Amino acid sequence: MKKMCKIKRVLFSLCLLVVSHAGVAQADSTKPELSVTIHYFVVNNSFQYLLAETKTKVDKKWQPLKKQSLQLYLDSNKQENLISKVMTDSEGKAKAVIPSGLKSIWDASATHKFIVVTEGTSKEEETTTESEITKAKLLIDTSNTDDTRTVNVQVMKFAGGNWEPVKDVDVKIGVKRLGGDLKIGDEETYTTDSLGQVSGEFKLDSLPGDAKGNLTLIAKVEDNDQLGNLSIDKTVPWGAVNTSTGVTDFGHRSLWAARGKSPVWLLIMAYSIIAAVWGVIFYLVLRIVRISKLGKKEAQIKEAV
Amino acid sequence: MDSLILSREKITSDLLPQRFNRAGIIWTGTLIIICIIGAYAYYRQLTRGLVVTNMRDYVSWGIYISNFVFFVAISLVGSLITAVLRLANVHWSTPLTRIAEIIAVSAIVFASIIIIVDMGRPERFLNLFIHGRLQSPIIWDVVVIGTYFFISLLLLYFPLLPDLKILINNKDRSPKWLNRVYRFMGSFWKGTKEQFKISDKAITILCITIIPVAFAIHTVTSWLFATTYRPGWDSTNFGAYFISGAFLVGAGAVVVAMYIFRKAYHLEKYITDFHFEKMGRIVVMLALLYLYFNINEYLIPAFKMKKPEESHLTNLFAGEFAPLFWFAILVGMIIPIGIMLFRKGRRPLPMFIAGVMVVVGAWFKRYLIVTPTLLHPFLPMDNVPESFRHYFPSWEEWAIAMGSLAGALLVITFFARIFPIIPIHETIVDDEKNV
Repeated sequence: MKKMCKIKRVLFSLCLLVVSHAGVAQADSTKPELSVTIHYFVVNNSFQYLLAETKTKVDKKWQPLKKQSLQLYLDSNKQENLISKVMTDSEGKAKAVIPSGLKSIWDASATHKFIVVTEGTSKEEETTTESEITKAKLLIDTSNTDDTRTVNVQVMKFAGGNWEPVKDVDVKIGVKRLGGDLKIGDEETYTTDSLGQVSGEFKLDSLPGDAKGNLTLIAKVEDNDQLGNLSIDKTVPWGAVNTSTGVTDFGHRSLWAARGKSPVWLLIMAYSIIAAVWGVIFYLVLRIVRISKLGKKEAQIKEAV
Repeated sequence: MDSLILSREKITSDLLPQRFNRAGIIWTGTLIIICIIGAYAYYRQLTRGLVVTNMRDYVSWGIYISNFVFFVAISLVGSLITAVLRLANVHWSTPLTRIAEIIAVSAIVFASIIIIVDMGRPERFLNLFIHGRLQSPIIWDVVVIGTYFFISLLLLYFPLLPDLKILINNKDRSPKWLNRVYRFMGSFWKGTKEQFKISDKAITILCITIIPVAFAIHTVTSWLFATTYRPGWDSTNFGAYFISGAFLVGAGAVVVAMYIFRKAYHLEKYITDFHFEKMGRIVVMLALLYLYFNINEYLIPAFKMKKPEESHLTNLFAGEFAPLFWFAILVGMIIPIGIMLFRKGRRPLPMFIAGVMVVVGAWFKRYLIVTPTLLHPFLPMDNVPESFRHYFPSWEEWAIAMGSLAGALLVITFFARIFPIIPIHETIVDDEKNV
């Protein structure tokens, strides 16, 4: 009897385990996991915007969540603190600029909280994500001594009504190019000292610039937990003068030109060959027609005989 | 005269198309099944995209383009057996001309199909005509393939006209629907002197025209590779290298087809040991020629061993592709040369084995021309997924490629069922001349 009770208890526990696991699995299948991250950007200490990124787990893989409605708030998720209502794109991303209407709230504090609320749908539950930043700015300057060109960058944060230097922040310094930023020296990043400063030697000699030899330097702080993403640029006449007139050969007839700009010799050659060979084919088809007519004529003669 | 009439009747009776026997039905059924599997794989590719293949960023030309080059190569045999030998006044090749021509037509049809299969989005083929640039070798290839197809079709059709009359006269041997096809195609052929004169002249014009077009088709195909600056393709020799290889595989395919048709339709009196002997000599000459071009293509770059080509060449000679490379060289060229160089090797069975080796070796050779080069770009492959560094076709790619090969064989099989695979009229004329 005791043995029976023991077996019953084990069976009951097993049933409970299976039922609870099935419950969890069902919950998993109905409400997939959702990840929302928010990034704060400041460009040239003036233009601020937020980038929200949403992902959801499909078949155990994170996929961008398209067309997800998001509400972004500053400090508190009240209607008067609403930054914007946005919709994610095909990459699961949505951008929002901090409106001037929130200036008084923005100026009131040195640190701020960004809140993202995702609307609950039949597939997704409503979620709230927060991110806190401290107001900061970048300063960029250059010096040129003994033929050594240096780029100086300082990172400052707003605290106690004043701008204070920030120590131990990684800063990238580069030159803006078409495909991305080209680093000015050997270092990938520079770390700020107690004065919040970094200096990098500019080693890119004879880098092509614009028609006046101007290059655009850029300094960046990327994904800093406290400061967010900061960037600043400055134009300097450190490049080689680009003497290119901007006129390319693509407008002329050449082998590498666009369609309709084939070289005349190629057109003449190709079309002559095509016309000659297809002329022969056409002639031979006409010969078949001639053979056919001769055959019909022959049949008529035979019938007449 | 009586014996001549009897001989005519015998020739006609022997060479008229025959119904499939049991082996023929099994053969055709097998080919149809392979084609259906290929069609299903292509349906998967159409619905799911090219992701079902194992082609990625680097190997964007895989087994499909290898197959395309193989088909283009094999199609050249029409111009060799029909045109070159006919213009050279060689009469022993008469029984082989139609075999060569139907191989050429079916191969060129499937070359066109496989290139569209490789596109992933087949409707974009139209863009070649809407937005095509005359400067692009791809446009040249499209033009020349279309032209070669029509010329090959005409070269198949003109010599068929007298045979159509024979088929119409022997309507008891064919079902009604087939007789209707024969009448539609050639009821107007009465065999008058004037008709023969026009037909003979047309065949001569075709033979002259097809040779430069055949050279152009394979030269342009080789330029698809040679006009790009890549290890293994950057060669001024590619046109001649491709043409010599094409003649070899085409001749090898004719040898295989000769043997199979001879066996299946009991054509020992028409495709004789003499034909194998002659074809053997041609294949040996072509294999030696192709070997010569191979030595040029591999030995000279290996002697210089330029840095960007080093990894490509060592990979072929002693690396990942070495077994396939040496297989293609040995089985595709050296062993067949060894077999066919001697008189005993030019008998039907050894010739058939050597022919199969040439064709199989040639298929892998095309794979080696296309794929290893793509895996060795000039710029190093950095930060790419592991799957980008290697290539082995997916089952869909294999199924489609094998389906296309089966399709080409099916066209030849049905053609031999409907039309005489050996020209009846020309055989009678040759026979009369001999008498």
